[in-house]
This record gives sequence, structure tokens and C-alpha cells, in this order.
Amino acid sequence: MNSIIEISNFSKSFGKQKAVSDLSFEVGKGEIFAFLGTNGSGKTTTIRCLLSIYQPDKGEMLIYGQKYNFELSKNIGYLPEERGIYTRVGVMELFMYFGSLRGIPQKETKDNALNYLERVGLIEHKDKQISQLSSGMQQKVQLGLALQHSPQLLILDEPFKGLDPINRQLFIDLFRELRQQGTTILYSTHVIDEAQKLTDRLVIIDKGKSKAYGSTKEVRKSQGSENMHLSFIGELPKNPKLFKSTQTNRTAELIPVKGVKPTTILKYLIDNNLEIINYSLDYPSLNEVFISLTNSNE
Amino acid sequence: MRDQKKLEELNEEINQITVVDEATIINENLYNEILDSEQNLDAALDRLQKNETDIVLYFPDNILETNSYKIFTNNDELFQTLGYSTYGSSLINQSALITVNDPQLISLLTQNFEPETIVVRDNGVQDNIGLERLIIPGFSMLIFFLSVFISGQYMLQSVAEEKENRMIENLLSIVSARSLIFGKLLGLSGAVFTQLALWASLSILFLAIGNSESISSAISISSLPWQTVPINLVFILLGFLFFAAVMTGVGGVGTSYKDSQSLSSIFVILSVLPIYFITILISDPNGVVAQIASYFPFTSAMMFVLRNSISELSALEILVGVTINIIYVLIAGVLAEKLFKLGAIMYNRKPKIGEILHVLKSN
Repeated sequence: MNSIIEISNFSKSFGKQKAVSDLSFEVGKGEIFAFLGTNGSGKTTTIRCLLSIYQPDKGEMLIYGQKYNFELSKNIGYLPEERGIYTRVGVMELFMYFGSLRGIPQKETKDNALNYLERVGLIEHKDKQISQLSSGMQQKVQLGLALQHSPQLLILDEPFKGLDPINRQLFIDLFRELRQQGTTILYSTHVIDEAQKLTDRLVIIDKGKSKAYGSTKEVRKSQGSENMHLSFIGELPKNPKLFKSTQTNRTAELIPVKGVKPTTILKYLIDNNLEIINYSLDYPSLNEVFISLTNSNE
Repeated sequence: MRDQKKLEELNEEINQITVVDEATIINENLYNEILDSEQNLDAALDRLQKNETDIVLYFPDNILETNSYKIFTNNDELFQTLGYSTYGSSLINQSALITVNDPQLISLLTQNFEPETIVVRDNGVQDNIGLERLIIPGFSMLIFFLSVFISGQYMLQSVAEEKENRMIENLLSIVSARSLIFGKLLGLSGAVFTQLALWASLSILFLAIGNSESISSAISISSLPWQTVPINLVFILLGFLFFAAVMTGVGGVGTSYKDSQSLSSIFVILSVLPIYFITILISDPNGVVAQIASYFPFTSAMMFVLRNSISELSALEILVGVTINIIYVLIAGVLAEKLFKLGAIMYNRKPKIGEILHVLKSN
């Protein structure tokens, strides 16, 4: 794998509190890599250390084979978790300011900004003050600032935070387009549904420690046998001796207890008058993997 | 003559003045068609009520014992009635001067003398301590306060607001903390010194188009200690850089602009401490209090500006002062950068004392 980001044996503490311990992973060129973890698990600390905003206590963190430096920032777009934006300036003014900080020629900044605003449906707001935009619109502007210099690597800390479903889908589509253009994306999230749809590879961390790492399929496969995915009509009966279940409306994922065959469970469900519409066997969903891994130490 | 001029000016504004001179102190030759006299006060006041006269000046017979006389008028405009009092005094002065025949004596009595006070120091150095001696210190201190404290507050606002609105992290991913601070400092210096240059230009313009003759007669511009100005500017610049660095650190540590302002007040109070001892400092600019304040980081630059303006500092003292202030600026800059890095992305809480000490001690 041609790695763009290499993190090996990274640790960071704040006082006596260990934020991240011995974390290692790599992000390959052109892939969308998800950095999954619950709130406070160490995702933001890792990203900040990767970008030298914090200094790591131990380990190596390389981007394009070198420690982060401001020369590299020309090729990296960053969306911090803490959303912030100057509110008393115009949209275009903000793009021009950040463009000048990055040393991009004014015309290029302007053209890129207009193209981006057109793409995300903000073109008619280009002359408005930031304070006049909704929070979702402001978030789009912030993402635009991270993309304005057409970076080859995007580092996004909780990019879906606070977005409505429509804008969430817009961001997913945008990230897919960027991947097609060869952009590498590392993003952190605890919204697992999007991760399963979008991600090529991932790492799951909990309390600063790596719990699973690999391609989405590998991680799912590593966490047990095939689960039962079904959609149904009626009320899903519970039987902890046979299975555990995660239910969403009329769909459910059933995790068989060790030694229990899916056919036994299927029979039990039919015997309990559950009308099964669809049924498949698959590895545990990413959501299930995430819950089981991040709950296991508690 | 000055009193005569005042009388003429007032005479242009009023039609009739009536004098009731029980003390017989006003010279008869001063009476004319505008200035007449009445024997008793009631008659004069009666004429005032009938608007036959504008002012009644009443000099009672015991004026030498009471040192007081009265002015009656039906005009209640404050600034005009204030002018009437000088009219009465001028009339008394004129009456006295008429009795003096010696022109040289009259000249002596009517001239404004401007004494020049010279202090002879122990080492034989003579220091001029006329009014103009206060111009350079006054202006220097004014510029010091404007550039150092006001711009310090701008710096604080700039850092604290960017932290408060969460822009800092975005910026820190593009430029280093040092570059960001340096850029802010550079921009702020440009803004502040452009502002100062503008004010200076306006002041010069004002002097040029204003009553420059009267100013130059009151102040001997060429005798001002202009040689102190370059040194003062150096200390003002160092004071500005020091205070801006302190405000950067404070802005980084505070959770909001308001919080940072509260924190900064400690340093502002420390910095203006010399103002509380200003009389001691002016009377003895090389005394113990001044010496101590000159080497205390928060007051050093200001003290050197003050002392350099009002007393003669030796070349060695200036060199030591500049050196120590450069060291203070460098230390403050390094500490400010560390505090800024520590607190800039620490949202919703202030760093603990332990964290601050740890980061200050770290390399």
C-alpha cells in the first residue's frame, strides 16, 4: 500500500490522563479512511498531534513520509471538530482571506470559491455575511475553506456533526467525488452508518486504544460469525439464550449466541409468529462491531 | 497695553457701564461716553432695570478690607458675565497705572514675565525645568499609553475573539503559532504607528494653521529636549512589544474575550503602578522608587521614557535599559507563545496553574 499517513506507536497524555496509547495505523493513497471512536476516545487528540497542533509524547506520525510542517499544509485540507468562523465578514471575503493565508493567487481563490459555492448550493449567498447563514450553510463554507486549495489529503474531524440528512448526503457525495479525483480522506466520526457506506478502511479506537483496524469487511469479519439481517412485520421476540438483537424499526440484526445455528433462531422466530419479509446472513454490521468493541471494557 | 486692550474689547460688546465708586479708586480720566458713574447703588440699579446701562460695577468703601466688589448685570449668559469680572479688575489696574508717570515702571507693571527655572545639580549640570520641559515627557507618556495599552487591548481582543469563535484551530493548521502571533504583532504595529503618525501630522497641521505666534511666544520650541525623543521611541516600541506579548498570552489562556479582559486587568494594574507614585518619580527621577520601577518588567519601559524625558540618563543607563527591555520582550514573547499554544484550542476551560507552570517550564 502506498501510505500517505503513517502513525506508529503514538501516545499522548494530558497530565496524568492518558488520551491515546500506542496507536498505529496507515492511510493509503486515494482511500477514504474512517477513524471511529466514541466521544472522548482520542480521535481529535490524534488528529491534532498529526497536524502538530499538539506534540505527541511518543511514536511517529508521518504525512507523505515526513513530520507535519507548514510546507505540507499546501497539500492538506483540515476541518477541525470545533467549528469556528469569522461571523462579521462576507462569504467571499472569508475565502479570499484564507486564500491569501495559503498563498493562492486571488483569481484562483475566487474561481475555486465560486465553483465550490455553486456545487454546494450556496452561490446565491456568496455576498452575504457569514452571520446571515444557517449553521449548516456555515459548515459548508468551512468545508469549502478546507478544500479551497484542492488538497491531495483531506483531514476531517467529525465532518457530519450537526448536519441534517440532506447536507450529510451532500457531504458523502462530495467525498466520493473527491476520492474519484484521487484525494485521500481521513475523517473521524462516531456516526457509524455513514462510515459503512463510505469507508474503504478504518480504525476503531476506544479510550485511546486501537480496537480494530483494516478494511471495513475485514473488521466486520474479525468480529464473529455471520449475523442474521432481517426485515419483518410484527414484534421481534427476545430470547437471550439464542441471540442478541439490534433493532431499527422493522429491520433487525440478530447475533447468534455461540454454538446456536441461524436455522434454530429462524425456526424460533417463525414459531413465535414473526412475519419475515427478508432474510440474509452477513458479517456483523459496522454499527454492531463498534458497539461491541466500545462497550466491552465498560 | 493688555488691560487697555481688554477694556476696548469689552466696550465693543456693551453700550453702557455704570460705576458706583464709594471707595474712590477709579481714576476720573477713564470715564467716557460708555463708562459713566452714579453716586449711589440704588440709582445705578434703577438704571440697570430700565436698560439704560448694561453693567453696574459697585466698588464699596471697604473694598481694601474685603478685597471684593460687585458686578450687577441683567445679562445671564455665563461666558459674557465671566468677562465682566476681568473688566472690573482691569478698571482698577488702569486707575492705578494712570498715577504712575515713569514709562519704564508702567512697562514693568504691564508686561508678562516668563521666569526660567534652572536646577543646578550636584555635578554642576544645569537643568531647565520650565513649562516646556513637561511637553516632551507629557507627549511621550501620552504616546506610550496610547500605543502600549490601547494596542495591547487590540491584541488581546484579536487573540481572544479568534479563540472564542473557534477560528484559531483552522488558522493553526495553515500557519504556525509563532507566525500567527508575529503576523498579528506586525499588523497591529503598522496600524498603531500609522495612527500615531496621523495624529502627529494632524497636530503639526493644527499648530501650523492655528495661532502659532502665541504658541511660539509661550514655548520656546527650539529649547525642547528633542534629543530625548529617539530614545523614548525605542522604549515605547519595546514597551509596546512587551505588552502585546503579555496580552497574547492572556488572550490565549482566557476562555472568552470578557474573561481575558478580566485577566489582563492584573497586568494593566501592574503596568500603571508608577502613576500612583508620579509625584515622587517626577521630583526624584533617579531615586530608589524610580530605580526599582525601572527594572521591574511591567513598568521598565514606561519608567525609562519618563526618566529619560525629565532627567539626563547616562549612556550606560540607556544601554542597560534598552538591553533589559529587549530581554523582557524576548522572555515575554517565548512565554506568550507557549501559553498561546497551550490555551488556544482549550475551549470552555482555562488551563490549570499546574498546566501553565508545566508548559512554561517545558523546552
